[in-house]
Amino acid sequence: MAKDRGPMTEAMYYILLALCQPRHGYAIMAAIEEISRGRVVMGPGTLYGVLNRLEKEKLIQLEEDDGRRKTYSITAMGRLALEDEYQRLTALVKDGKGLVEEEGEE
Amino acid sequence: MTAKNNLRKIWWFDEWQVEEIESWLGDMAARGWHFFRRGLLTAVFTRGGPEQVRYRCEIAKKSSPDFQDRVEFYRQGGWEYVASDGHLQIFRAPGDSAIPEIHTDPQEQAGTLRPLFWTCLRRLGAALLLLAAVFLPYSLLYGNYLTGLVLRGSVADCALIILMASILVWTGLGVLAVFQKAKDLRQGLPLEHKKKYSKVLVSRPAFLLAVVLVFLFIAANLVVQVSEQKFILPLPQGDLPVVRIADLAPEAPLYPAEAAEKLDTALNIYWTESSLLVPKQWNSTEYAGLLTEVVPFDTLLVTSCYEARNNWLAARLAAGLVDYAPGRDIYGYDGRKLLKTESAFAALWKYHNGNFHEIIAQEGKYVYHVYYQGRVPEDTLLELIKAKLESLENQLPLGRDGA
Repeated sequence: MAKDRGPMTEAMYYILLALCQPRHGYAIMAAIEEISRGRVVMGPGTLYGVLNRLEKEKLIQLEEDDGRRKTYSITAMGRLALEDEYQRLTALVKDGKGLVEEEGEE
Repeated sequence: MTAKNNLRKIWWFDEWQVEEIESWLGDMAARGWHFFRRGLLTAVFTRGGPEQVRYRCEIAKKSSPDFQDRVEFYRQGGWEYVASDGHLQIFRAPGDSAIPEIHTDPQEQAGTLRPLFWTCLRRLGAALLLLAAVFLPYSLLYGNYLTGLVLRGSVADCALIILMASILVWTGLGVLAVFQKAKDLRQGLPLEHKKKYSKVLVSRPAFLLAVVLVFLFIAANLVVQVSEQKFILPLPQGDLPVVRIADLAPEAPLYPAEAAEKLDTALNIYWTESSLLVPKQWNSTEYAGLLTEVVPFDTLLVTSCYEARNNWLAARLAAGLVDYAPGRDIYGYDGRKLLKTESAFAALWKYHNGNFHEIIAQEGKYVYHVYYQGRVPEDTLLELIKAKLESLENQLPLGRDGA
């Protein structure tokens, strides 16, 4: 991993997920809504800011820019970061599974 | 002319008052006035129907190369660019539509506050420099800004300092506000888009009015000061608070006024001054003796008598003068140290070198600062100062105005 930046924000995580396929701006927003089953709605400001940052950190790359729309896709480094985060989140859920779900059933 | 369809209102908000701006613009739109341009100090609205509109301030630089990209991106998302206010880019979208907010992730939004924070910090720095600049003249004048302020600071000066301090507080509040906002965002608290702004619309104009009044007051004071006659030549007769050569050595001939030209200095002058904390100040300089080229005088007596508002101020003034007094360099020697001595005065500092003496005496709310070069013994001089002090304290008529 490039650097130890700490946990990924939700916005970053979902954008990386969406960019496992090359997509442009609004397609990313639609994909995120679909992937999260309507739970996560991303605003243009958040999307714009995170896309710029992810590109700077080389987790995504610009595939094409036709002047009106920019299409991005995830990089190899991005995939690694995504996998790391996924492992981390899975561990969180797994550790809590026994305790949290038991409480819920009471 | 579309003038009748346009409304101009003064823009009272600071850049960091993002929530208040958004709230105000939204309320104006609800009343049928739609914001479309920022003037020099104003916001310009155009008449339309009352609508529910969401205005949002984005922190970004208009001059950055990707700004047009961003505007287009937001437009595709339903947010229309309206105008800029410094670092703030203002966008609008219909209030009751399903269009998502520009920022849906508070933590990400916290990162965008950085340029705003630096702007506010720079303004705080400027305010500090401004305050220092106001203090600097007192420092230069008196080497010790507190002494300078005490002796020269009029009400107008104090008002100016309070004004500068207010600006400092104001800019400081801005820095704190941005800091707090970023902190709240990082903890997941989104901005409060309907924040109340009525306080700003009242307090800002009030502050501006206060500023104008202070400056008018200062200007009026300056006019009065310039027209006051300060220097009285030659020394008037009568019993004055200052210690005179006539009191010490009556037979010593004072230099005539014509001699002043030859020596290129002011001789035998008396003047009064006043400040807020030291309302009565009497000063005199006297030279006496034989006029020769080699030794221009053999008796020198420079007195300053200060009446402060209270004993505490007088004690502080005396201590300040001990540390630094203007004219000390003129009358001699570097590295001179006044020594505090037990005496009949509340506080007394003395220095002597041969025939040259410097004395600072404080009693009650009065301070005497005397430079003396001459053959009269120091004790005589001290007794004379004591006598003058007693007269002052007992409010005996001393012909203060030099009648």
